Amino acid sequence: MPANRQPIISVRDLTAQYGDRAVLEHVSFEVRRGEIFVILGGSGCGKSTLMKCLIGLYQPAAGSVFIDGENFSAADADTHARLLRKIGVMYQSGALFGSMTVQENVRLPLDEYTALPVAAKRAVVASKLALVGLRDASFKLPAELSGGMIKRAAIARALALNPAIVFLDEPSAGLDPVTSADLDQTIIGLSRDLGVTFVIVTHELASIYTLADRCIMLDAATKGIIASGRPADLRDRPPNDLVKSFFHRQPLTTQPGLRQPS
Amino acid sequence: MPAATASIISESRGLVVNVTGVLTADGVAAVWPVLDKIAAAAGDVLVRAGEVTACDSTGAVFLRELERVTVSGGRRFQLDGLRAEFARTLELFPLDAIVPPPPTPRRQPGLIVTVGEKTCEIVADLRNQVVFLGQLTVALWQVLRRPRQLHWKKILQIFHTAAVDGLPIVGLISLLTGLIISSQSVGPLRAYGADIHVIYLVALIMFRELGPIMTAILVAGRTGSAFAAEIGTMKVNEELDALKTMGLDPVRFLVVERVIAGCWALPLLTVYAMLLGVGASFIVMLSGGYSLPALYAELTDYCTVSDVVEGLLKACFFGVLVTGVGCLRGIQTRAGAAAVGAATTRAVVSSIVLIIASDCVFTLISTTLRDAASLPF
Ligand SMILES: Nc1ncnc2c1ncn2[C@@H]1O[C@H](COP(=O)(O)OP(=O)(O)OP(=O)(O)O)[C@@H](O)[C@H]1O
Ligand SMILES: [Mg+2]
Repeated sequence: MPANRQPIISVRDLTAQYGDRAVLEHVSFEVRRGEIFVILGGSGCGKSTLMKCLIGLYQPAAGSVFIDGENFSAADADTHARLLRKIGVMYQSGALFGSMTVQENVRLPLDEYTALPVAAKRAVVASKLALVGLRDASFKLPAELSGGMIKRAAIARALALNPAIVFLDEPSAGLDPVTSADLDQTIIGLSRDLGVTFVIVTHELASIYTLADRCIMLDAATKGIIASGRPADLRDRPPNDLVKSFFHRQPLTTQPGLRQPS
Repeated sequence: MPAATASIISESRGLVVNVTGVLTADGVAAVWPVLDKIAAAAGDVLVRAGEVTACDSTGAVFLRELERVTVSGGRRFQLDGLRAEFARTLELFPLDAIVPPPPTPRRQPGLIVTVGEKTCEIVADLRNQVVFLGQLTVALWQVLRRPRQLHWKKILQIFHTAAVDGLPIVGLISLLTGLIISSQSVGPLRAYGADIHVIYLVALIMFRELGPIMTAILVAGRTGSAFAAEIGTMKVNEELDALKTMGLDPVRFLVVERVIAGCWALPLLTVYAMLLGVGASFIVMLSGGYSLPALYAELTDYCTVSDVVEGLLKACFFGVLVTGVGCLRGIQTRAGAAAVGAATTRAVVSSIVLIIASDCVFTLISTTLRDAASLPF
């Protein structure tokens, strides 16, 4: 659908380390415009770390991250600020601001970055909260929400400015299957209709099959990518045992309702 | 030129609204005022959107709002010519999704209700303090019977941050207080030819009152607040609940160590404060021409060990009080980051109030006892 075929994110030879200990080494991959890209891997293998590198929170020890063709890792302050406007992030813990209500949390980026009139902002906030099914919790404080509601509110906040790329760190953790499936449909809708690119860290096999156009799998031992491709292909033709055990841990009852890439 | 435009043409059957351009945040901000005009006008609305070249979810919200404003007035709404891809965007946002829910009304309680609620709060808080005191006593008693259970290393660590790291600030404040009181009281006492009694005056104040009180207030600000913040953060992160479900009593596990460290740290800091305060008065008098032996004789003639002991007893009590209140306020923390800040504030304020209040009681008791024993002053 989008004419621009250039990858929206391109990671080249990225190495990330905490202190002297490398978590990721020489990782390279690309995310295409408008696709839903899933990062898989066991706990502690560096998925969140990779995501922090992609959103510029964490400076990689070597290598670079390109967003929309611009080098994010070596950007000056202006470019950096401009690139940040293109991304929305949901952190693994939600990271809502505890002193603000849910609707104030979602409204904050709108207040800071748009010239919309107050009534418009209210309508936009309501629409984002409706997307994640949180209308009734608009005036609650984060402390009064359940774990799954915090996640959904954080997703609404990530979507507030209609970013081109949305990063979600384990969006379905803590959600019941029905809400989780609803969320998957919302993500697919946003991606198809608005051309939003999603980069998602998740473990939910069901979600992976429904959502992912492509995925990569990280591994703590090799500190890099051990497999990449469409989830159905990885399931049917796993390149190694790790991938095989990941995809076959559950009996294959999941209907692989894989989206055809447009 | 704005990114988007919206113009209204009145026709016999109603209004025709021409929307063109880029319907993203900037464009929507430019065309939003048209909504008021449509709400004010009458007649059915036809929106021609064939020249909309881009429409994100903010644009979709605008189009829905157009529809809502129209149909809420009982009029008919029609949208024409919107590109198929934008129409799909619009479907993501059903009409009722853009209506913000009504804010939950906050009841404004009257004066009597407020006074009543506050009173209940204070009574409940007093009750909590008594309950906490009981829990603490039980926990301390259990620990004293089996002292090996204590993490002495942790206690030493807490003692270090509370006492050793507090030496500079306690020293500075005591030295300055000593200097100020001595230099200010030399004048009035000299009028009676009694200026050497400055030593007596300062020593009495530092030993009995200011030494313990000032140190306790400083420890409340440095250490009590830190305890409240630390335990408060643990509470917010559900770590206290985790302790409880493991069958561990938070009071036993977190408070006892801190209180034990505090009831040692405070007397020792107080001795240090007393020394520096009296030392300061020596400095002032020495610079006024008095000899060291004369000053020393003045000190030993008038002050007794009982003065120092009284101060140290107070300091022990304040140590338990300040650390206990810090921990209690931490445990009472409600949810959220702001609650941790509130807990810290409450810890310091309650500590200071309780220090001053209990010091009054102490002083009352000690003067009564002195009277009974017919000791001077
Ligand atoms: N701030 C930090 N300092 C030091 N090491 C860290 C830090 N954050 C993460 N690590 C280490 O980096 C590795 C990767 O952590 P990361 O949070 O990226 O894992 P993850 O793949 O997101 O795991 P999970 O699925 O459990 O969220 C882990 O071994 C972790 O111990
Ligand atoms: Mg993680």
